[in-house]
Amino acid sequence: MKFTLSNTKQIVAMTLIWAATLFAVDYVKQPRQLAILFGMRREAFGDAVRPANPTIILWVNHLCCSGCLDDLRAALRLLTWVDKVELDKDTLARRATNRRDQALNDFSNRVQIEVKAVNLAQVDFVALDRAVRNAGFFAEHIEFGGIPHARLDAYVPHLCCNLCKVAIVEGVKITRQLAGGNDFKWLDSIDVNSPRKTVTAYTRYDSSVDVGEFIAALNHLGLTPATLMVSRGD
Amino acid sequence: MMRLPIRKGLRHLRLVLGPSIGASVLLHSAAAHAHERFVPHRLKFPLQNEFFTRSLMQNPDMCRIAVNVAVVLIAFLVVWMFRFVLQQFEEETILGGLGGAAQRAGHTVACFLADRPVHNKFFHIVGEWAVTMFLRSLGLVLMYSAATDSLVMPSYPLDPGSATILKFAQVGVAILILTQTLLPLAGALLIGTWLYLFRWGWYVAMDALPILIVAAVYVSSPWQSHKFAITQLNSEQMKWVRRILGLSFFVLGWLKIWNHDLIAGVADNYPKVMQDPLVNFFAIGTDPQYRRECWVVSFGMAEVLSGFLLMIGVFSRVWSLLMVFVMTKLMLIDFGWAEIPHIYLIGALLVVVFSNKLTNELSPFEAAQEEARRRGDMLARFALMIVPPVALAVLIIFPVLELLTHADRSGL
Repeated sequence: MKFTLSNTKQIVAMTLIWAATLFAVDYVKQPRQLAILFGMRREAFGDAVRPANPTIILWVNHLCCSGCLDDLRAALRLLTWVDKVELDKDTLARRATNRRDQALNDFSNRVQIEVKAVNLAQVDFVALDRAVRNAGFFAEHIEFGGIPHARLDAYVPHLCCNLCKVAIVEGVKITRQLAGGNDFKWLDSIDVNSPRKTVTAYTRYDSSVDVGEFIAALNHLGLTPATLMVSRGD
Repeated sequence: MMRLPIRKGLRHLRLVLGPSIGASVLLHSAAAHAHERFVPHRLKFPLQNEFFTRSLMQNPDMCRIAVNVAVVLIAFLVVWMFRFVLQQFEEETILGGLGGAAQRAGHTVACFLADRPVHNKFFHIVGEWAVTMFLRSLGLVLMYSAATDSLVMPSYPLDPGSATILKFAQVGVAILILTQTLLPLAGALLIGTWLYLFRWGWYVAMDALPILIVAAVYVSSPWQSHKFAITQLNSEQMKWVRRILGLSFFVLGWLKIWNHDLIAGVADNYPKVMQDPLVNFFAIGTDPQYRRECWVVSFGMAEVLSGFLLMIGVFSRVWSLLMVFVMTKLMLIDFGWAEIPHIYLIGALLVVVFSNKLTNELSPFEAAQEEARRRGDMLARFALMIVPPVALAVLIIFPVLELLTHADRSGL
């Protein structure tokens, strides 16, 4: 039986075309800087470079003056694990594509909260969210970054049966699918433990975590965590 | 059964795979994005990190492991250089007085151990089956990865934005592989996918090096591959299978020492893996205070040793058989379902174990040694048997291990 073999040109051409196609699909589906696309620089949520230490960034859409910042600082001072609270001047403003976003940009700011590594185990995002709200503010996003691989452990008091577990697993799955890849970019997988009443979110390696998104997803499913702790994760 | 021509169509193997592997050195990523998803690897106790950053001159334990490994490596290389003399001695002196059946069995075992052709019907049949399994098993791994939202390696999750397209693409390649259709195209797609893995960091691409083993066979297969039952690989294909397989273990061994917390975390969660006799042998004479640290280095060095010997074709069958045992044990006993992709590596190792087309990279030394024997120059002959193994062992082990003690681990 006659047969033909491939040659070097064919293999090299097919290889390069395929690799280029994969990079192109990746870029089209998730546009970002080429340095990040080709793995030369780290990828982080919200165009930010990953901070060196555990850091929380709050996106507060009303933080127009030093009075606002002082109020927020006073509220955060109650949290013993908070080290420094400063305006995040390095981060770019949101991409304003309409007048509403432009208007928000005029009054919004981002606040960077530094956490000492030794205090990481005490960080509770539910307490943080509550403190911000009690001061009369609301954080549109609560980003956490600075450790390469984190996991979030939410203690959800109402997790009475296996149906609760299925509801959370399926609910998060559907939320991710409906978002078409725009939400939960940081999330690798979740694990629900009904007997312990915990929902654990395992994060993708080296990503910044939008903790607010996780809390909002649980709220959307009709549940609220009593505590939400972070640790260096499996 | 089909025998593929060696020269025609295979020259490009070197041209295609050489630059691809070279790209691994040239392309650089700032971060090691890799992480294990399904095998728990959380460190239960921190390692003593200064152990890994002290120079060999100031670290007697790491130095001791390096010496142990170097001695074993030298022993294997020297025995390899003497293998014909030993086989002759065995067949003439030990088996000479026994009956025909015992002589034949002894000859078969000696041929198996010395990587010489084994003329046995059962061996031949199992070898054909191993090739069939090896050529198809990656298709199953790709299907499994797609089902777990990953690309090639189940350890590496896909970005949700591009997951669907890339999962369908993987399934497409898997169908080509499982139906043995357009294998050169399948090979090129695998190499292209491997290059794309650099997008996740060089560490990921190195972890996925084994996919190039079967890609090397695919690109040297005929376009009409679906019309043939490919049950044998020729010498050139076997050479690439052996080299890339060995290189994979060699590189992954060094990476284990570099990214020490990962393997130590696995050992913390599966303490049984620390009871490996070969690994513990390498740690003989080290300080018990650094037990876990020494185990990590010994484990990595065991892979470096086996990978290097496989890469240069020294006792390929013995090392492959040993690794088949280790991989099967990890898959069935230690880690279970999470390590099911090992089935592909087991297939590749079985191909080496049951191949009658094995070659080695030390043949120039053997030719020079034969030349010295003909001249009657015994000193040169024995020098050629001893000096290359010692030089190779020293050059392979010590410089890289010393370099690793200075390596930047901040991105881990």
